[in-house]
Amino acid sequence: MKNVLVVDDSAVVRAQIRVTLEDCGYSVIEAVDGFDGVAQIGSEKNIDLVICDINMPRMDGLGLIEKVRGNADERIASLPIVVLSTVGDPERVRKARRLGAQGWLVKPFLPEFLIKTVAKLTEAA
Amino acid sequence: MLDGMVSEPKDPAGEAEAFVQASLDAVAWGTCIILGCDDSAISANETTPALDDSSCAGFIGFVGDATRGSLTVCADLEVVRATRPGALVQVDASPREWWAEFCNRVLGYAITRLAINGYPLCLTSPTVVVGTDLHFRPVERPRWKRVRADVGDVYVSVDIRVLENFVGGPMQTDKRFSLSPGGALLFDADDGEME
Repeated sequence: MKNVLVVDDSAVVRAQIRVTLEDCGYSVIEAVDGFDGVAQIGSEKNIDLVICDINMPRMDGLGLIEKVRGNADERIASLPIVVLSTVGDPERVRKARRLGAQGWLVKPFLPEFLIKTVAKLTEAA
Repeated sequence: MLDGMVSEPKDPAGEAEAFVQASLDAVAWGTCIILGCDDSAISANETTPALDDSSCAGFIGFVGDATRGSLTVCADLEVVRATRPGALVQVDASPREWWAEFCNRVLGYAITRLAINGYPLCLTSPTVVVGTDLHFRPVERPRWKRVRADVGDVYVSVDIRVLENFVGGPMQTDKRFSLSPGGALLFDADDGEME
C-alpha cells in the first residue's frame, strides 16, 4: 500500500483528501503545516508522495519543498511533491516548479485528477 | 517620449479605487465558483448585512506591496452547512472548519485572478467567528456584494487600506503558469514543459 503525506492546515481539506484516497486504497498520513510535514517526513520512512498546501502557518508549502529538496538523505530529497492550493498564480506556480515540485492542483480538486496524479507520481517513485 | 504621444496623467485615487473594485469583483467571482453559479447571481449590496444568532462570518487577510486588507464572508449557518462538499458531509466536518476553508478558497481564487491582472497579493490564515451577538463595525461606505445561490445568500466584502507608496495601475504579468479553480498541472522535468 502506498503512503501519502497530506500537509494542510485545514482539517476539512485533510479529511477530504483522506476520504478520496483511502477509497482508492492509499494510506494517508496527516501533517498540520510545513513544519509538521518536514518532521513527519524525517520520522516516517515509508512515505511515497507528499501533497502540500501553500498558505500555512509556521512553514508554508514552498518552505517545505525547499527543506525536502535540500535534505542530505537522497530518499527524502527525491520524494515526489505535489502542491494542492487555492491559489494558482503564475509567480507561485513557477517558484514551486523551480524548487522541485512535480505538480500543482487548484482546489477544489477533482477527485479523478487527484487520484490520477497520485497514481502517476507514486508509480514512478 | 515620442513626438505626438501624450502620457496619461496618474490618478492615485482613481487607481486605488480601481484596485478596490477589482478586489471586490474578484472575491464575488471566487464565491460564485465555489457555489457553482454564474455572474448573474452577484448583486451589489448597499448595506451591511445584519447578523443574527444563526450567522457565520469568516475573515481572512491579505497583503500587497502597498495594500493591506481583509475579506469577510458571511452567511446563515444553514447555508454554510449546505455548501459543504460531499466528502465533508461524509465525515461530518464542522461548519466552522469548512467556512475557514471557504474563505481561504474565495480569497485564493481572487488572488489568482488579481495576480493575472497585475495585482500581486499574499494571503494570511483565515479566522472564523460563529456565535451570537455579532455585529459589523459601521463604515461610511460599505462595500458588500451578495451572491444568490440555490442554497441561499452569501455576502462578501473587502476592507482595503491603500498605502501612500501605492504606485497604481496593474503591472504586466506573464500569464503562463496560471491555473483556474479545479485546474491541474504536472511539471515535466526533462524539457521544462508541462502536461
